[in-house]
Amino acid sequence: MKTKSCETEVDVFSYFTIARKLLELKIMENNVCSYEAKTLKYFTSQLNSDELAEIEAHIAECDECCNTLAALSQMANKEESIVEESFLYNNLAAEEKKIRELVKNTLANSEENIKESNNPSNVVSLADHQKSLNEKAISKPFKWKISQLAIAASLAIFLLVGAFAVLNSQNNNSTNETIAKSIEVIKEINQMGRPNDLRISEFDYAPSLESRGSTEEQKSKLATTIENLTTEVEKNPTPTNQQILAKALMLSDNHQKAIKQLSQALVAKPADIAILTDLAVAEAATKNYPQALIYINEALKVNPNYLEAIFNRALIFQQLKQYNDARSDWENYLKLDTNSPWAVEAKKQLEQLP
Amino acid sequence: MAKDEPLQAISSVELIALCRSNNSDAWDEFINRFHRYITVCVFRESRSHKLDPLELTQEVFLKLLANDRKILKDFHGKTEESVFAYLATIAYSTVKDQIRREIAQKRSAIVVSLDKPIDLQQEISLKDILPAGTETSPDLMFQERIIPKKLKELLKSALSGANAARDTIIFHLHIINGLSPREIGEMPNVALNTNNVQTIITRTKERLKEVLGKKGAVEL
Repeated sequence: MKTKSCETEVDVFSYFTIARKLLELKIMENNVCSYEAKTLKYFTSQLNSDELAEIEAHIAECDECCNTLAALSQMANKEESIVEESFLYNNLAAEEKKIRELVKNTLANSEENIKESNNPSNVVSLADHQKSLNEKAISKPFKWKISQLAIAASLAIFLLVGAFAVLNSQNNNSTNETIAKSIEVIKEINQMGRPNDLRISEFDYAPSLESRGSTEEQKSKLATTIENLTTEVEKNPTPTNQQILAKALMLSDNHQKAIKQLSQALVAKPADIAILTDLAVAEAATKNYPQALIYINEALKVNPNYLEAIFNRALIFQQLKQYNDARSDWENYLKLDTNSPWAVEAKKQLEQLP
Repeated sequence: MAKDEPLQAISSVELIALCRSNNSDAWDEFINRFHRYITVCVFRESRSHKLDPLELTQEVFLKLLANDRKILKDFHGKTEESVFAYLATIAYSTVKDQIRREIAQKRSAIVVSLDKPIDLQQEISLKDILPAGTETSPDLMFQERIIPKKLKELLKSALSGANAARDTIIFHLHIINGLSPREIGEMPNVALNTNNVQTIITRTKERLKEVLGKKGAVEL
C-alpha cells in the first residue's frame, strides 16, 4: 500500500491529466446534457435558491455541465487575443452595417405586424371613415367652377393610378398563381410519405416512410418549386411565403435552410402556431430535440389543443426518452382526435411505448 | 434613468430594458456596445468547428429579436457583468445548436453497412477489413468509465458541508478545465474573489491528499 505523500500526489495528478483528456474526447462527441439550459441560467445567476442548490449538485456530478461552464467563462472573457483583434479589424465594420440593416428591417417588420394583428379596429374605422367621406361627396352638389386644367390633371392621375392598379393586379395574380401551384406540388410530394415522423402543419395525413419513394420527375418538380418560391420570397418576403418555402425545403431534406426561413418568419409573427410547429419539425429533423421541444411548447402555449403540436411533442418526448410525458401527450391527443389516420398512428405509438 | 440622459450614458441593464420594445435608437446603442463582444464570443466558440462566425453572429441577433424579443424579456440580471454573461450564453447556445445540426447531418449522410459484403465472391464485409476503432479499445473504455467516476467519488468523500457542490465545481473547473482562479472568480455565478477561489482549490487538494492517504494510492 502506498502511503507516501509524494507518490500520492503523482497519482492524483496523472489522474487529472487522463481525466482532462477524456473531457476533450467528450467535447468532440458533443454530448448534450438535459440540464444544459439550467447550467446557462446558473452561469448568469438567474436561478432562485432552490434551483441553485439543485443545479449546483448536478454540475458537481456532471462533466458536460462543468465543461459548458468552463467554455462560457472563456467565451465571456473581455480580453481579446491578437488573432481575435485581427479578425475583428478585417470584418467588424462591414458586418456592423449588415447587422444594423438586419435589426432595422426586423424591427420594422415586427412593428407592421403588430399594427396589422393588434389593431383591427383601426382598419374598420378607416373603412368607415372612407365610407362616410364618399357619402358626403355624393350628397354635395357638383361644383362646375373647377377649371378645365384641374379636370385634365385629375383624369391623368386617374389613368395613371388605373394603369398601375392593372399592372399590380397582374403581378399579384402571377404571384398568387406561383404560390398556389407550389402548394399543390408540395402537398402532392408529401403524399408520397412525410419527411420524418413529425407532422408538418396543415398537411393532410401521409404515411411516414424511411425513404420516400419520390421519382426523378417529382424531385425535379420539387427543385423547380423551391427555385420559384425562393424568387417569390426574395421579391416578397412575407412570413406566409417564407413558411411555404420552408415546407418545400423540408420535403427536400434541406432542414437547415428551412430553419433559417422559419426563424425569419417567426420574427415577424412571433406567436404563429404553424410556424412554431414547423420550426419544431425542422429542428427535430436535424436531431436537435431540446430546441424542437422549446418551439413545440411555445406552440402549445398559443393553443393547447393544436393537434399537430400535441402529436409532435409526443414524438419529441419519445426521442428524449421521456416516456411518461410522451404517454400523457398521446393520451391527450387521442381524446381530441379519435378516428383520423393520425389517431391510428398515435394509438400504435402509445402501444409501443416501453 | 433620467429623462434626458443620452443612451450612451445609461447602464447596460437599462439598455436591455429599452431594447425589449421596438426602440430603434436603443438598438443602435445596443449594436455600438455589444456587437464587437458578441462577434468575439461567437468567433471563439465557432473557430475550432470551422463554422462561419459572421453568419452565426447574425443568427444571434435574429435570436435576440425573435418572438417579440422574448430572450431580452427573460433577462432578470441587475449588474453590468450579468448582461455580458447573458449575451455570452446566447452566443454559446447559437453556436452549439449549429454544431449539433451539422453533426446530425453528417451522421445521417454517411451510412455504410458494415455487414453487407463488399466483395460478393469472397463475402468480405467492411468490418472484416477495418481495424477496430479506438473508441472500442478496452483500455480507453475502462478509463472513460472508471476514472471520472472515481474522481467524483473521491471529491465526494473529501468535501462536505453546505458548499461541497460549489467547491467541487470550482476544483473541477481549475484542475480539469484549466481555468485560472481569477477566471473562476470572475464568473457571475461564483461571486468570490481570486484569493478565495485559490483557497478553495488548495483546501480541496489537501483534503483529497488526506482521503488518498487514508485509502491508499494503490486502490486507484
